[in-house]
Amino acid sequence: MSTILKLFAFPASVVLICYGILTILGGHITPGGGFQGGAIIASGIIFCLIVYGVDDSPIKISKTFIASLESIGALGYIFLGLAGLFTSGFFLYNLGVDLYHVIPPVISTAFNYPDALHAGILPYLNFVVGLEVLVGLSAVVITFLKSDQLIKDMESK
Amino acid sequence: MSNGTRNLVAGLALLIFAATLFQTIYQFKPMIYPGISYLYNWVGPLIAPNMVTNVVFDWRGYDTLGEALILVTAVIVTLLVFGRGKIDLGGE
Amino acid sequence: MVYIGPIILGFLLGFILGTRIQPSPSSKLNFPASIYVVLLIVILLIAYQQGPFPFYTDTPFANGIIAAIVGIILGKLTFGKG
Repeated sequence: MSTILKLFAFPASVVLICYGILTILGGHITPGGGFQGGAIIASGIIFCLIVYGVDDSPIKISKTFIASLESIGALGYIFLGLAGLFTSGFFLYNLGVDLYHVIPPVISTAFNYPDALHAGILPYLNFVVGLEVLVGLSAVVITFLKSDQLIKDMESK
Repeated sequence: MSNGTRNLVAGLALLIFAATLFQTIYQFKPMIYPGISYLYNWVGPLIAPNMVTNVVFDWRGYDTLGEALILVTAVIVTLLVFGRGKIDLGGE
Repeated sequence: MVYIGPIILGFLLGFILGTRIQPSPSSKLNFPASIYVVLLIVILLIAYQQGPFPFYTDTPFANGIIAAIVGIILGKLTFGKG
């Protein structure tokens, strides 16, 4: 990889990560949301991985990080749904916007996302899905880049 | 069967199939009833301005849970293919 | 009044990703602190050009990106090495 690429890749990665975070945050107003923003952040991480190589890249993702973020993303979605199941009778009920008026207003204001709109738990759902997607896509690319070493480990066992 | 006869029969089968497909969409407009669309166009602005996110995460939030499950399964299977011998699970 | 929802969520996500910026000890790459000053200026320009989200009336720039870059820099300073 040439010198210009090595000078340019790390700052461009950070700008891509910031833009991906903006796409996740505006999921209920602008086009985008959890899946799309997670893919943009993953593309920033993968850019650094390809230009510098897996061992030398400034943005390092370890196995514990992948496992914990994936678990937090998937379990967070389910716990938000279970919170709706235990307070009202419906799984994944939108607790901030109380469409059927079945829960007391204390819970409804506690789960509402504090911004100019009345969106309920939608931005939190976008956030946990974004966490899960960014880690999933980066894990697949890291596995394919390290495949020679992993196959050698498998055959020596 | 020679090449010419085979082409002729294939062309005839394509014509019949195309006619069947086009007949289903001929005069389709009186058959559509937008039932749930009236309801969600009235309820939607109460929740958020983005109607796509309203349907994907609020009306069909359970399907999005299944979509996230697909992503988790794909990552687990990819890591399992390359990971034999890394963790000692017992046995021989 | 400032809406705290996007600021807190953007800072959290930036902090989580900022802890992962760790240059490896055996490499010849060196990213000094001046890179982050340049990045801060670039992100400020992007935030002013993007404008706020629709229906938001608190600030004339985008809050989310500023919280993200502050989170990345703080995450690198606390948990990243170098």
